[in-house]
Amino acid sequence: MGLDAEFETLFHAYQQPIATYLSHLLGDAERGEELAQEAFLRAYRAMIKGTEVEHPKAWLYRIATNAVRDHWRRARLVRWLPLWENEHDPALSAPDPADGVAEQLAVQAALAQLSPRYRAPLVLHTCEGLSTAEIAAVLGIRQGAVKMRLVRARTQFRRAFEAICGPEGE
Amino acid sequence: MTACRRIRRQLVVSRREWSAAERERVSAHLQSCAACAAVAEEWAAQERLLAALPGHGMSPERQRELVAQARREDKGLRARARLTQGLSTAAGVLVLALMTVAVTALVRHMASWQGELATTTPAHPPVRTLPLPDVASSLRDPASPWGRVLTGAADRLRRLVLSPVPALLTLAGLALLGVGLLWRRRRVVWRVGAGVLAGGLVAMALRFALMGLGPGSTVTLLRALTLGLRYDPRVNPPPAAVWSYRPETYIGRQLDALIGRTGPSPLREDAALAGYELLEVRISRPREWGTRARVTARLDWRDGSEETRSFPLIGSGPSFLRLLLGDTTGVWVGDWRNSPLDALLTDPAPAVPLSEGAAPFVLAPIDTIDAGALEESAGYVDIAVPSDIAADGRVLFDQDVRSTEGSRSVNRLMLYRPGGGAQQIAETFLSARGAFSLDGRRVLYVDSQKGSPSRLMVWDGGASLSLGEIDWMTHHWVGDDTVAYSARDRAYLHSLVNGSRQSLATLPVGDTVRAWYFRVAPDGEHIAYSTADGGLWLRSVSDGSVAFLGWDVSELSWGAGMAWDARGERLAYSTMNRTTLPDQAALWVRDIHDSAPLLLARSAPGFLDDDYVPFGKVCWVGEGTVLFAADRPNKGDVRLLAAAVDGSGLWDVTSSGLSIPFAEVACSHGYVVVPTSRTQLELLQIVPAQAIAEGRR
Repeated sequence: MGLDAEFETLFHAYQQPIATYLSHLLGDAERGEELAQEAFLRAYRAMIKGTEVEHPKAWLYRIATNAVRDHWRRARLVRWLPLWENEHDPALSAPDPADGVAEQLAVQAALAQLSPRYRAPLVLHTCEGLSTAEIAAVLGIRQGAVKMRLVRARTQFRRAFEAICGPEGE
Repeated sequence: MTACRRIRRQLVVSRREWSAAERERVSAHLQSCAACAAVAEEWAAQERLLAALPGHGMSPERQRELVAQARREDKGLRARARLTQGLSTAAGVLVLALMTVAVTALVRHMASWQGELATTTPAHPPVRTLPLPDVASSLRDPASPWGRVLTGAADRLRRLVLSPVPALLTLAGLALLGVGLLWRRRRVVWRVGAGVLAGGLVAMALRFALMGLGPGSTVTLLRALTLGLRYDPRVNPPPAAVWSYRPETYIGRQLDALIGRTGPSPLREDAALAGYELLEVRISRPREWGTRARVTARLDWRDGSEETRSFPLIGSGPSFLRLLLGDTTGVWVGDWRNSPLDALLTDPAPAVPLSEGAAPFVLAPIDTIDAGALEESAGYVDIAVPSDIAADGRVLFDQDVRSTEGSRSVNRLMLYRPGGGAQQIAETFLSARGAFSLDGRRVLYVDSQKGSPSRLMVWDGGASLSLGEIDWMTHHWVGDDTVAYSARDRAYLHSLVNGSRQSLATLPVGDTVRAWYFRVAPDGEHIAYSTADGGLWLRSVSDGSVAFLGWDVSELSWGAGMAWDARGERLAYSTMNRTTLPDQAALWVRDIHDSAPLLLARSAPGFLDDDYVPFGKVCWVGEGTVLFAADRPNKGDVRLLAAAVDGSGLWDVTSSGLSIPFAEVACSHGYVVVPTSRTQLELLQIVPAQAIAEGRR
């Protein structure tokens, strides 16, 4: 690839998890891929400047999370764009739980209703499999705060998912 | 936290993060608590749902785009990174080098600093209230490593920097930051370094705030700034350097004036106040508008009764700011206003009356210098001021010449030869103040040009030779071949024979108006000088001893309020006691072998028919008489007085019909030159009365 071997190794190991994380966080695969590219460029620049990376996984997720924050700041988004787009989609208002694709859409929509402060730890934990210590490092908060956010995120997610699919959806 | 809540916070953590004990505890709780079991089941379902979301890798196109973009940026990024690393390394090396220098300097000066801190300021026995303890010590130690200006600030800074904990923390923090810069900007080193540095600075700030206001003082800066000061002036008062406007000094000087202690000999023998003791000083917290103070004193009246009285004072300006400036001589007593003592001081000491008998000499006019008629260039003379006379009657004077439009002016130093016209010696921006050498062959003057430092020049009849920079108007001859002057607040003797320059002393710190005011005795053994607070001092060059002479040298005729006799054994000087209403001028003569001076003249309301008479230019006439100028502001003229130095007489010797509009007079070698208008000077000869009598016979 012509890049430093160190970066090449990181890229191949984490490009899919990072892109997936960003897609889930944003609810938009295309936008997620775009921000993943931005995140890896930032990582590359930092490595060229001589930044020492002790925990590459947490480091990359932190960069990716910061890229999303910047994206939200730029777009002045206070709510989840895809949700607004999907709110009026009759197909999503009552999805058939038996349908796998519909269930994924419902999960995505419920996820999108979480506030960003709870969405990121939930995605990192359940989708990406990061430990609470790693999430704390990524988000720059304490481990206790991560647990607290996870409890609230799960509660919010249940309410949002029930609102979309109904209680029987579970 | 309830058990259920604790278990739920445990349930959000992945099971692989659980310890065996946690696993057992959760399992046991779920078996006994149906609600938590339901939550666990629900969250497990959530995890399954979320984990089932499809993954997304970056598309090959996106990856190619990333590589292309990285390649585009690669070269510039690497160059910038190299530059940043180079700068970081250089900064790190610089910081470490500075730290090394600082530590080395600290270690090297540690011993001497500690020694200086233990040193007490030498006392000046003749002065009852001594506001300037550091002046004497700085004069005695001109090689002080910090210099006189920073004496006060350096003391506090020293105590601050030498505090081991803040100093070491600060140095360690800076060193860690330096290491962090060198070591590829390791974030952990940066953080630790910044933390240690912050700790050091906080410790320094605390130490500064809790530091005693002066050596041995228990009053802290924090307390002084928040609550104000209260101290016993008899025990450990804060140094003037810290709380620069000390109100008890002002009250003490006024009380001194009441009982006749201001000045080296009693001013009032008949004062009702016999003595006093200052008991307590309270100074309020500094405010924007100023500082309020109250001085409590016990007054001992001459009839034997005692009285304790408080004197409120208001000082203008937040004096605590001077603390940061470290001004060691900023005792400006005039800054305390509205003293209730003012009313008591309206009765000044009696004047020395003029003698009835004939004066020992008369002033005979011999020539008139019309400066306006001498000017040949386009323009006119605005004012002419005499500065010196030679033994053959030649006169040096400055004339301010304005262009006819009046927009531009220059100063010309002129040499007038009786009967031979005038010659221009130099053209300067400000007054040149020419002075003849004793033999009259050379002229010393100040060459000032706009925007450049003033230079001291010697003119030998042909060319002018520069002796170097000079402070404002400090120059005078010491013998035929030696010149005394000050440059950058140091007094020098410059030999014109071999060109050598000898440093005499560091002049007292103060504003520039006062710092230059000094006169070296003709034998070079003594220096008379004034300090910023208006004190007049006599210093022995050989043994360094300092004696207090009085307060407030008259401001008339720059540098001329004191004059040595030809042998350098007696000093005639004028003082101005500003603690009386109105101010009282006095003329003294002091023999360097005596401890007390002799009062020759003193003004008071009615003296020379005026309420306010300051004394100015003083010069010796032979061995036994001094001639001096007395300004009468209310009358708008100047009188010339003669005083016998044994105190036997005081005479008004102004020639009848002579009107002197301002006190710029010169006298030397038996001649006097006075202005009679703005552009006319009168050359007078001092004729002894005995000679007149013999002539008549």
